[in-house]
Amino acid sequence: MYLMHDGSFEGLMTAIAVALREGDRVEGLLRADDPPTLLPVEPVRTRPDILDRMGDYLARRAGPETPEVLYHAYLSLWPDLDTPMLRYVRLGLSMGRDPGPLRQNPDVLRVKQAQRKLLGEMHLFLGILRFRQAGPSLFVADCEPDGRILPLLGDHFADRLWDQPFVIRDLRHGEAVLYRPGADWRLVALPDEKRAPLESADPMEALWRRYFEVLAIPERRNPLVQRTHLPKKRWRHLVERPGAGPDPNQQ
Amino acid sequence: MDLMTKLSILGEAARYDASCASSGTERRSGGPAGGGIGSTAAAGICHSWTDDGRCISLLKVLLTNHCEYDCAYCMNRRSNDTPRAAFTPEELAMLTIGFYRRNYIEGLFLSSGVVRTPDHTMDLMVRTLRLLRETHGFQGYIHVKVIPGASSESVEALGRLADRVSVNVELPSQGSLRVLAPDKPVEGISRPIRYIRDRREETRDALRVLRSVPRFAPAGQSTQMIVGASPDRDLQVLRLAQGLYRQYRLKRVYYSAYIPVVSHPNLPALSTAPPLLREHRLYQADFLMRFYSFDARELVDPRQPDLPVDVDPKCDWALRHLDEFPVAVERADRETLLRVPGIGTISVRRILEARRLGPIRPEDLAKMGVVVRRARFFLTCGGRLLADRLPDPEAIRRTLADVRGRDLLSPWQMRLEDLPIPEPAWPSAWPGGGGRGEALAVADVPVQGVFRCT
Ligand code: SF4
Repeated sequence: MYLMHDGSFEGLMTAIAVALREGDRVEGLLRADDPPTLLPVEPVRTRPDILDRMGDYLARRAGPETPEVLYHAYLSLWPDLDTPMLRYVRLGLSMGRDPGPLRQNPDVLRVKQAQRKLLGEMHLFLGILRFRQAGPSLFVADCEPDGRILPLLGDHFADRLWDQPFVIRDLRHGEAVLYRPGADWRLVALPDEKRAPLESADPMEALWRRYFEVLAIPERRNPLVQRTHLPKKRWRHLVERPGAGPDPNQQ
Repeated sequence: MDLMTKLSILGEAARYDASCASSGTERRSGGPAGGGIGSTAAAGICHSWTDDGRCISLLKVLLTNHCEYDCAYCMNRRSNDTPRAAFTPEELAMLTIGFYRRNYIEGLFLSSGVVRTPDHTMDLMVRTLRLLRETHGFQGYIHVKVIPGASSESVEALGRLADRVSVNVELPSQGSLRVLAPDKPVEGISRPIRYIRDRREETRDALRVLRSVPRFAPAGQSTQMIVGASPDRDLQVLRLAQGLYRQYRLKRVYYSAYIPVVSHPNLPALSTAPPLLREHRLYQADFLMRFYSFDARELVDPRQPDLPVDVDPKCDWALRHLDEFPVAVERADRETLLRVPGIGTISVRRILEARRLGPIRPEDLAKMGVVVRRARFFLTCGGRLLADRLPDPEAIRRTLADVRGRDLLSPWQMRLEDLPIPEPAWPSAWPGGGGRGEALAVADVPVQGVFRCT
């Protein structure tokens, strides 16, 4: 039997909880928007209170890291990961610890790789997100990450830039972090009319672009290394212009 | 002179300094209660990569490029005809905070040419840092370079305001220093390095008994050496680096391939290419000393005073010690595994954890991050060598030669696999618990109005 959930994290956790109760009868998990299948499918109703309970349960019966591993893997948006996550949980419960180090196991490997990818991407965006001044006291940053990193960025920026109202827009997945001093940051859906690119005449941008240019040493020009760290697909929302400097070999 | 011109001149003048890291302290902003802005992250954050592949983490500029000294290898030397500029403390604070608020940087890296005297220059730097820290409450990362010859008092003042302090050794031997940097007394470099070490140890000891002690350079000190400007060998460079790590507790030593910027009878000709591969090998050796428990003497000795060019220093060591291999992935201890080519600190950790939980098959090694192509001559798994046969040492050497290494890796930053950062501590992210945001489900919270949150 396969369990079908609504695709939210609560839905996934509910499905895993039901699968644990049902035991081996449940072979895997599906999402409501997966293509139709001839497999025997049973829908589960998402329980809104599931996160606290499952988080607690998994931390105690598998390992304290387990809930976070699952959340990160979920946010990676890697396809067909729900069933490996279920097997990850089953393995963890049978071992009485987080199975993460057991990379010999293909499910563990995939879940851990998804987590690492997402955290790597998040770490990159801690650095390359660019805020533009969009009003006397509003800063806006746009990004198009592969995974859903916004839920993990909120704390960092709300702590660091606590006195500055800001919005971080994920134009790819249609969500945004909103922050205003004195309140907690919130994650919200990004409505279509709020997706327009920003017109900005921020004087700091020209200074930063210039600084970026003069910092490179022409004798050491190394586009390959530059792109290894900062792939071209990430250039779009930067202020600076990578790769635009003079190439001594071309002259 | 407008700000744009100043930034161009003083950014360009600072670009030869190698250090870029912003790691080593962790500080939350303190929020509204603490006043001020900013925080620092324990695992350094890179904000961009320049066209030469180096990471930008800090706004790295000189306060001024006017200089009383005449170091032969330096663009800013007194006798060089180059445009000069100077920031006011206010301009620099404004730039730092403006860049910081837009997430261009983690903080400031401030250095300077020598204005009048070392101490006068240090005073100007202290003024700038005070303005940032005290007037603007800036909590971001600050790294300052001590001016050679500065007094202990001014080092003390800087150390209290900065996260990291560095004193550049510049040249790996006293002889070279005397020839190429005649104004810089050797003592003027070693004295502040000692002072900073002693003050950090004092602070650490005091913290054991007292609750609050004024901070002193909590992210430690680092230094930089120029390679290729003087005839010094890698042996001198690495021995000195090891001494700096062990006796002076430095956090980092940076190596900078000399790029000829001025012609001088005692320096390589202007047309000389910077020794980038040598610099790269020095960084690899440096990593081996810091994280793989190698001793400098194992890597270079008087008979072989320079690191090899064709293979990395760890391979070179392994090839000279083939009698100690192969080792068994099931039993070898951490130190031994770390010496196997193709295995880094992360893959060792994974192997150690995984073998406690279950057997490791040869095909699992790649999943742990082992570069099997390199490790196969040195490692057994299930009682069998990974390679089909063991060629003679010269053939292994040819197989392991990393001609591509120098193009692929930023010489100033190692591959991720080589980085010693444990897995960084990510913000607690389990939805609903721990984090401050009411994270998760993209709920239908009304969005109108929030885009103008004045
Ligand atoms: S003291 Fe520093 S800035 Fe002045 S010439 Fe020497 S290296 Fe250059």
